[in-house]
Amino acid sequence: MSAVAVSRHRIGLVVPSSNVTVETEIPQILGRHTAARFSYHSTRMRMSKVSPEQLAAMNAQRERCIIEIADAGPDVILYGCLVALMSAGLAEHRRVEGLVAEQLATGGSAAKVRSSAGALLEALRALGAQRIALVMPYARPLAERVVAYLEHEGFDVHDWRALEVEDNHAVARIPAADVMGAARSLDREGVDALVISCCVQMPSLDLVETAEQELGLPVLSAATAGAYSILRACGLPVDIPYAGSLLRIDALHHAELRSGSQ
Amino acid sequence: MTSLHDEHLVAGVDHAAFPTFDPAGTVRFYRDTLGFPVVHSICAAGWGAKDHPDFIHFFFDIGNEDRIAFFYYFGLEGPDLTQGAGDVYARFPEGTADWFVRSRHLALHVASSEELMEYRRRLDASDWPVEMQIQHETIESIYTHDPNGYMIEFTRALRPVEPQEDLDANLTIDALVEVVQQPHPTMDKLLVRKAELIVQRAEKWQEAQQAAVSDEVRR
Repeated sequence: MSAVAVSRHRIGLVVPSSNVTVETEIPQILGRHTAARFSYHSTRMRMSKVSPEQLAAMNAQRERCIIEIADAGPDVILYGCLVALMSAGLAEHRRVEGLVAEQLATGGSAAKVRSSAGALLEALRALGAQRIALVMPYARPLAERVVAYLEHEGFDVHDWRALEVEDNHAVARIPAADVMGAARSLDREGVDALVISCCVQMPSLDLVETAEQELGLPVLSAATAGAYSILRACGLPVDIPYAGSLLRIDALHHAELRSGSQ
Repeated sequence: MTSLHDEHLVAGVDHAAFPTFDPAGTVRFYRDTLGFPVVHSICAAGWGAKDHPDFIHFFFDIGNEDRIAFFYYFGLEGPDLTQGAGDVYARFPEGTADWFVRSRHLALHVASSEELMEYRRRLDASDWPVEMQIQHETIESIYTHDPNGYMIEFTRALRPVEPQEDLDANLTIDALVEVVQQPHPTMDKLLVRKAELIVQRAEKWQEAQQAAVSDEVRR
């Protein structure tokens, strides 16, 4: 590894104004990458209560946020609010990613766009997961929409918990013990992967690895999925320690290949 | 059929785009006067080019899910319209012939005389009344200029275009392409060349016609 040149990448983050976790966890994860250095540039959409009305109002600010963030010349932009997209209608992440890509292309920006909603699907597919279990902070009606969205994408949501915290400021302060308790209480029979936080605001990064060891199945979060998608978009190897097997996927494949070739 | 190589694949106009320096007038003309719905807009900055102003790209439905689109660049000065002829995109020197200036235009089709007259009514009640209405054997059209000086035509076909006319058009275009690659192209030279092509192809053309007719009879 020593001779590998370090590449530099600018990451644009579009986050709800009350979100503090995306800008904490994504840099924590990507900061452990051995072959690349990242800088982070955020822009905010006003939102403090995770209600359908505020989510709709927030989505209307997307276009301004993309203009602001594209001015910084990022390599990849992550639209960091999963429930805003998943609650707006089925396949919404594809529609929104398409609109943002068109906006960027029309203005001659080469930035790629990913969303935390799309990243979660990308990550689950990368893990080969079909039957999944979820922990979400959302109020029940929103949580049910997220479940329906994932099922529409072809996943079998075997079990889920909604912690029912509507105030987005409070979501950032949900104790790790509550998240872990919810994860432990899930029926994990035949489950391929556990999403310990479906939400980029609910802190969970420190739980991912320990939950994976304790529960004995791949564990991911909206943040680790977002980091995975960013690395893929940058064409970088996915080999980051202590954040679940998703983020070691390339190293694991290499190890498999090596043992298979013997 | 797995190969697309021989297929005519396109499916109409996605959008035809024009710049505008008068977005308010443009919206009043297309949306409020003609009733073309606003179906899309993109706000962007010029991230790729130097000195590129912020801009908005907005789209009106022109039927059939096709769209006419405009670019409005914030802070960009429009051309001087007091001199010469043309539209805000293309200006021509004073004295340029009208028929040339009007040769580039957008024609939208409608299905019936009633529909054509409905657009005439909408335009005549606006700041952009119909300037010209023409009718001949095959088509009837009305014309006006939008607030940007772009000529817009509404047209309806009075009788369907027949296969024979397509063959004829292809002969004309083949003759044209040859003649304009020689010095001093003229209509006479084109017609002579076209006559030669007709003689060359008459047999095949006759066969095609007969095949089309017997096809029709079979149905």
